Amino acid sequence: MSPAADAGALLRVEALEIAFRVRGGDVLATRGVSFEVRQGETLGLVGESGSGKSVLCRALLRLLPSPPAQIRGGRVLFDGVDLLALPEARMREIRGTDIAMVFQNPMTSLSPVWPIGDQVTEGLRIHRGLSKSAARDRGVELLRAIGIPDAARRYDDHPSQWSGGMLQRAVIAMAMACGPRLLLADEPTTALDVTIQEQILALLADLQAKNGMAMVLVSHDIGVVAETCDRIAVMYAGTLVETGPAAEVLGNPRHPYTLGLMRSSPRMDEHATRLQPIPGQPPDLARPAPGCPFVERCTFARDACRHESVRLREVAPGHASACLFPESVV
Amino acid sequence: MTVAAAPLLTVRDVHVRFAKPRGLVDLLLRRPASAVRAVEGANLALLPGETLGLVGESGSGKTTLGRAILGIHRVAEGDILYRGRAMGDPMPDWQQRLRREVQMVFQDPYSSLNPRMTIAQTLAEVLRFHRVVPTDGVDDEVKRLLDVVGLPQTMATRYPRAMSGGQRQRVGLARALAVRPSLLVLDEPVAALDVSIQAQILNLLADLREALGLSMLFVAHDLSVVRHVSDRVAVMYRGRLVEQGTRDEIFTAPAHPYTRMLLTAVPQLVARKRARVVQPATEMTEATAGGCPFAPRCPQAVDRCRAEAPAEVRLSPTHIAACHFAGG
Repeated sequence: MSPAADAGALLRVEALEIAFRVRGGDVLATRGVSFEVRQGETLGLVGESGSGKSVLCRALLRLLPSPPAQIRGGRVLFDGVDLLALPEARMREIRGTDIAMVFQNPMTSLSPVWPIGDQVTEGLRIHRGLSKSAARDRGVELLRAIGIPDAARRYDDHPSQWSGGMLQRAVIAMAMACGPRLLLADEPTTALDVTIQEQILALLADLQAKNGMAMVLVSHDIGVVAETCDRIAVMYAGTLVETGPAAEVLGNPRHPYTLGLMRSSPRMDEHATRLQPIPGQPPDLARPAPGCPFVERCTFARDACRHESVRLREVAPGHASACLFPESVV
Repeated sequence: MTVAAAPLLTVRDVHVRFAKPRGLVDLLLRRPASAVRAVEGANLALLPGETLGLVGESGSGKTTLGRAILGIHRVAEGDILYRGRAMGDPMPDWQQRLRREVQMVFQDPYSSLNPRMTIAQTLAEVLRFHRVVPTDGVDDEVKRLLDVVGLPQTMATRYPRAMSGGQRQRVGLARALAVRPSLLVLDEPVAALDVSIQAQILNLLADLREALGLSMLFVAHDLSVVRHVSDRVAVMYRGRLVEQGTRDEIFTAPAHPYTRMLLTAVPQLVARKRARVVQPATEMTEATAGGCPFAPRCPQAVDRCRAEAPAEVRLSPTHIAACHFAGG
């Protein structure tokens, strides 16, 4: 990492290690995860279920219940301040003001019995001390900005009166209310139909462009990430296996897992009679083996991959891979 | 196609309705029960050995239509024929035969497997009940089925909870295949799986289809998956089939504006931060009675679309679209 890149980093995660204490031992959910997000940038965090992407996102905001979760090491620097070392009261101010989060299911963040508008503006009243009427005016503006028709009247609606896509918009409005500098979006469109997904992604991109906000977009769908992100980080079994500019990583993947993900996705632009799945299953995180976590499923694996430890190394400017033999990935 | 083969499955002007639950107030005011029209006037045919993809967004009625074909939902109007005979014909031997010839695979195999039975027990039960093989051949048949779906023999003694999602979906397939069906109705069979595992199951389906000559009705919301597996595709919107055609017709020359909207919304695997137009939220607006169901969302809608339901326009022997502007 060059010092110039560091200067612009809004979020910098260093060697983050998260474990879960479960019956029969510890499960390492993330191991030595390091990355950064610059101002105004969108980082796409891709991985399959169990790769640790959601745990990572929640850990950044300290939303993981402990026990069972335990942060074993590393730092989360937001604007130079280590969030992991902050007192809870300060952290609570940061959540919802400087850093906001959007979850997959909008009802995770909404109460079914409160008017939607009041929920969208709750942060403004608590963190910014707005009066009820001022919050309402601002809330109607926010609902209008996220494309809710007839916003002034819909302000008093309850969640059951809105469709899933509209509720996800409301949650985005709630996240945007206090003008966050970083938005963590965890699978924000996974539960939505493709046409609605497109609307939500457009909305996020538009809000981001207007506010200069940085965003971490977590998704299992490499296509969603390809179309929305400046940079991509691919996660596998709790580690980052490849990072770099989106066009670089997808155009010239340098980790066999990234390549495998792309080859196993059915395409809209070409017809293959057979897909090329990644053989086998992800490893058991309760029993980490030495060497590369992908070795058992890798078609390029050599002896060294079984015992040599792997870490992200630059393969091109800004593009890093955790493969020992990145040049053999084709 | 020169000589059209007799269809295995024919869906003719099928309507499925669900009664809306009536509240106490409705009862007291003696309001009449109203119905949700989940499927309206569906027409489909499935040829032997063919895979038909049925796509649509949530609430389009695709699952309901799939379930109506299996007899899970009652058909309010219209006919569903299997090998030319009404599926609803109550003759016991016909119903018994249908249960063997038509099988279903669900999205979440976990909810359709008995948690207290091992995989071998689950498969053996099906084999015994339908007397697929003689009693002393059941164990061997279980082994063969595990092989067919690519599960190691060690899985036979496992319980569903000790398996991954992909493995459970293989069990779901093995159980459906146990009775040697001719037609599989698959409802979102890969929607819950990670992409690397999804590819394994899609390849397995292609192999099975090849080896066993199965016909499949593949219900899914994911267009890239449907494009991959289907010979023909039918698109549903709000309970109506709005377009049908061969895979190439639907994906390279879509004629209905809804199909086009769906296709452009699918994220592609190419890094291109696209400039998107921010649109207002899509509300669950009801279409005007008698008009086109898609008119409220259609970028091309004119007054005629809101007043008059479009008839099906035949664009080729295999391509039909229900739009006033299709083909014109």
